[in-house]
Amino acid sequence: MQIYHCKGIHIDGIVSCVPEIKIDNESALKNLYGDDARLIIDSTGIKTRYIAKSGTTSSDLCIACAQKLLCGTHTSPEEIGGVIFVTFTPDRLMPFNASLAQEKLGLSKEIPAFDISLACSGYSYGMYVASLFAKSSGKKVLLLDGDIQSAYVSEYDKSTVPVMADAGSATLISPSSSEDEWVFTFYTDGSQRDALIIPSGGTKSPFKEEDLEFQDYKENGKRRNIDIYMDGFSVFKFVAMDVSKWLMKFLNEVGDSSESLNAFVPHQANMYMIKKLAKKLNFTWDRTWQSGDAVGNSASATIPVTIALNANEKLNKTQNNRILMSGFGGGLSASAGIITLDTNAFYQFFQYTENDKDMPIKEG
Amino acid sequence: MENFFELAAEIFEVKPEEITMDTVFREEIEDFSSLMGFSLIVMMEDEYGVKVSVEEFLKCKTIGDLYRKCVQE
Repeated sequence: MQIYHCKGIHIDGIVSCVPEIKIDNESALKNLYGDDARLIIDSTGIKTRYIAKSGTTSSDLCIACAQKLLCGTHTSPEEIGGVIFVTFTPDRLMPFNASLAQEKLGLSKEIPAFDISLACSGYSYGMYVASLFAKSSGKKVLLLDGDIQSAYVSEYDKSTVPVMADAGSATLISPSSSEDEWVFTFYTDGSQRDALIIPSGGTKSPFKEEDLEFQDYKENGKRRNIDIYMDGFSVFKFVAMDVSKWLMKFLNEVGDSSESLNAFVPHQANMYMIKKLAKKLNFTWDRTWQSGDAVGNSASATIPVTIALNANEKLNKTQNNRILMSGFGGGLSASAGIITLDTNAFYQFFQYTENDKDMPIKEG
Repeated sequence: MENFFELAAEIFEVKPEEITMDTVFREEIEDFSSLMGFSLIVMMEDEYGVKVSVEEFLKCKTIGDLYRKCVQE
């Protein structure tokens, strides 16, 4: 197992948001599942989800988060030495989202700005890469992570509709004199790339008119080739077997355990899956931070959303808080990191409205 | 067999003595869900080395049907 070490990095703050439309899952699922809607919610644990209004983008959400983050941490745009955007649902295929962030946030032109295209495993990747840039440049790095999955979810698909949601986030990573060591590890099984896939629209299968037509997949519902397909069982098995064993190995290799860490922050795939995963890793449910029940599964942004929602209340004020975070999904891919969260850092969670779009940055 | 019942009961969120070989789990287990079904399949592979496809699993009606897959194959 390859472990990636990083020292002298600090998280100044994490701001996350959910978009405009709140969905009550029970009434939403009545159309798809009839009387079984309640059972689906009881089993996935996802009671409400948030999705974006048509036209609201992942950059809208993340840039709004970044504006609040810069303000809340008293950081001026000139201090930012890089911007990294994790998303698989960018505003456009070209150019990349980070270029929008550079312009809208008024960041220097002489900084690295790029996207990382990963789904649910993206946040730890982003954190690791941002840490390397911060460490080697001595400058603060802005990590944006958000997706508008709803644009690619068929409203008739029984596997994706009950869980999938949208969200955005911004994390500010800065170089510091801290001796805390962060560790990361990564896992990819490309043989299972068809388990979570948007079949049409890439160069492998350019758009055709018929891709816009709904196909009937019987008990799984209907979807178009431009929608996300999820083989729920394969993803479940990947997490329950591969990811759980790989995470146990990671903890073992770095000499950590549920006792030595303050919390487990898993990707909020669904509450059933993460409960099982937490149990395997010996984390009590109380020390497993959650947000999926209230806001849904928004791909890689679920980790920063969960931190922003829980940190102020759950971080131990008297000690250094070390957490295990792990994302897993499309690829199939997984990533994990053990990082330190500072009680005094800036954490904020909010619901995005149109008024948040293109707000000028106010010094806090 | 005891071990199998314990593992299955944990997935069904019931006590082992509440289930028997004849329990028709989809009907008799309260709030049985497809995620519980996935858990059963994973448990059978993880603990007994038996790979069961979703289609094969759907043909199993009772806990005994599942158990026999684990001991026969």
